[in-house]
Amino acid sequence: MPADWLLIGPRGSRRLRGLQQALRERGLGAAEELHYEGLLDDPGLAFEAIARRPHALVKIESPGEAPRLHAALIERGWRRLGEPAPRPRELEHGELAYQHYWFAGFRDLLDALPAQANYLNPPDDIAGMNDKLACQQRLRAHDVATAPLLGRIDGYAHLRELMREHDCAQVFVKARYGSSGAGVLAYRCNRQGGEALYGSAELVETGLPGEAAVRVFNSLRPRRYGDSRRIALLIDAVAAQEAYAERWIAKPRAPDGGTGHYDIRTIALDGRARHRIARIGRGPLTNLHLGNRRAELDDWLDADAMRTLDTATERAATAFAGSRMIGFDLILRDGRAWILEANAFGDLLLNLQWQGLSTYQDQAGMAATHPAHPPRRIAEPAHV
Amino acid sequence: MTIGEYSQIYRGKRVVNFSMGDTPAGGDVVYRLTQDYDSAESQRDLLDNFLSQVDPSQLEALIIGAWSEAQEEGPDGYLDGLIERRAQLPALKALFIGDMTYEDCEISWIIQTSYNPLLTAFPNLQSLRIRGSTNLELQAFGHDALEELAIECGGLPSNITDAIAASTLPALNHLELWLGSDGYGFDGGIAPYQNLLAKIDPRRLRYLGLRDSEISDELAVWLAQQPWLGSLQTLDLSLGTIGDVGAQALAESPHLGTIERIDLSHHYISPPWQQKLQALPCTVVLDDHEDEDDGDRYVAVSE
Repeated sequence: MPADWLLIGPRGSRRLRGLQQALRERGLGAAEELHYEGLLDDPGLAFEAIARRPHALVKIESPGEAPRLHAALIERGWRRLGEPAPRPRELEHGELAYQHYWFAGFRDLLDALPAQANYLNPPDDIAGMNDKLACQQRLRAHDVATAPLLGRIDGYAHLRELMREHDCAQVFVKARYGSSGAGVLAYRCNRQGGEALYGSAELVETGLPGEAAVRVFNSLRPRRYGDSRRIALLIDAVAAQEAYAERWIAKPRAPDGGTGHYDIRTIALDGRARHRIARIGRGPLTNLHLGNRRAELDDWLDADAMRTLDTATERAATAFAGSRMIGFDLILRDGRAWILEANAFGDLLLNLQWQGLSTYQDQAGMAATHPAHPPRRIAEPAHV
Repeated sequence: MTIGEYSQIYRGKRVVNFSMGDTPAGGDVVYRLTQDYDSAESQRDLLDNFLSQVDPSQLEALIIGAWSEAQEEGPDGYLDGLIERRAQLPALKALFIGDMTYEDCEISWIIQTSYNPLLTAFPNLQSLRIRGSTNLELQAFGHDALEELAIECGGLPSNITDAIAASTLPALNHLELWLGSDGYGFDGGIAPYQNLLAKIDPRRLRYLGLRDSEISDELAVWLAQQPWLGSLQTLDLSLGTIGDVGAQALAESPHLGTIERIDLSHHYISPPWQQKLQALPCTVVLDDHEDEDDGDRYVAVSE
């Protein structure tokens, strides 16, 4: 019996549209939509909607691709953290800043949702995956093979110290609360004093004194920095929004005759590995929006490798057993798998099919409750 | 731009990875020994493990891929091991040391080592390919069997070029050097290469590659005037910065003779000159047209 749905996301989000269209195609009723923009002012709306339809499957969607909402979440987070610094300035287009405020604001919004509901992914897990450092730690606690973690970094100097300590010459620096490659930097150094940093981040030195002397923008072009001073500025700017470092695991070469290496995005639905796609990069970053290529894995992986992929995905999914839809990024090489990230919003994979269904069509057929978990009793709405 | 590919075919055979714990699949393949960042075994351990599972007396070709910490240490463990076991490796004809990509190590950071002991230990070696020029050492040497010598790097110091120029290599027919960029070790200008080609009798070369060069135009202008140019099968100036100046020189060269192939991939040549080159009676490869960046041209591989 397919579920009926309640979707929480930004107004006009293509993610919401994607699932709505899949429901239509299956001849199912439209999902009710709740928009973050409304919830910001009136969290009670979620309680009312969930109380009206206690059995609806509630999907909390990414608040991304909505600049005004993003700004509102930053503001909210800054307040929630007790206004620890001057009020955040307005971001320029594509600017990466205040991700720690953004997360605090989003977390605040998630905390204001009913604790008990028939969630596709519960708010706590959503927060737990959007905090990428906490997510890595949680995966490791569940004995999931991840890229070895150097831990949180305060900035460039601290990173260098940690790398010496761990005897590690190449790392990925990741914005702790970043998404889709934003604030992801591949950094390496050698004993001769050579340094190199790859990423899509663009460093702009404004010449203004203080916090605004350096700005970071997400660009769609992979860049390489070889200059120590600028590398330090960039890492410091990302670390100011909280960042962590993990070992840079070499990705396998894409066996398609082109030049590039690839990692893999898989989708676990109700704990089972389903959609999978290779993301090929000509540089160390493989995120698909950076002009990288996709490829089907069927021709690349033999049965053993495919099994390793499924096993790694399904094992990683047990770390978030309450979440029914998780996207994982992983590296599969020489019979080993490393989980790089878990993504609560990992299903925006257009034109990708698994057993003839898109990610949204696949979800549209889900049962109202996880087949492996008995239905939870939905609590009465609490008073907000 | 860097190297994003491992070799898949080497000396006409399919390349298969071998790392610690693997069992060689067998068949007519070439193995590439590879290590991971957390490989516990030494280079020597991996080499010995591999040789214990194949018949060393039949081993004709071997590739050394990424070794752990290639930016910190050279492939000495492998080379010393090969030298020590040379009596058991009578058939070894071809070695490629450093088959790794930017994911493993920046090409300009790959630590290399001295190759004279290896060349002395293997008088029957026919092909040596080296990737990386940091700490690369080569003194002038004599070798009767070596047919192919290739050094791929982001910047080739002229002392290596000079050492090859002073070497005695009667069998050499394939010479491939990546000149690279002066930010990464290229220090020569054209003179060391003019000297090299004056010394090694280029008429016996089937293939000459002066690739990945910042002075491609200058090289092309000079090469176009050399009477021996047409005795080559292949002239390879790919990965470099050749533009209309070099294109014109080659297109109008009276010395093209019976040359079969000119590879100019990764170039800055305008469409009219591309057309003129295409009209030559030999194959001219013009893949990867690049656009100048604020008047600057870049080699394909430097960092």
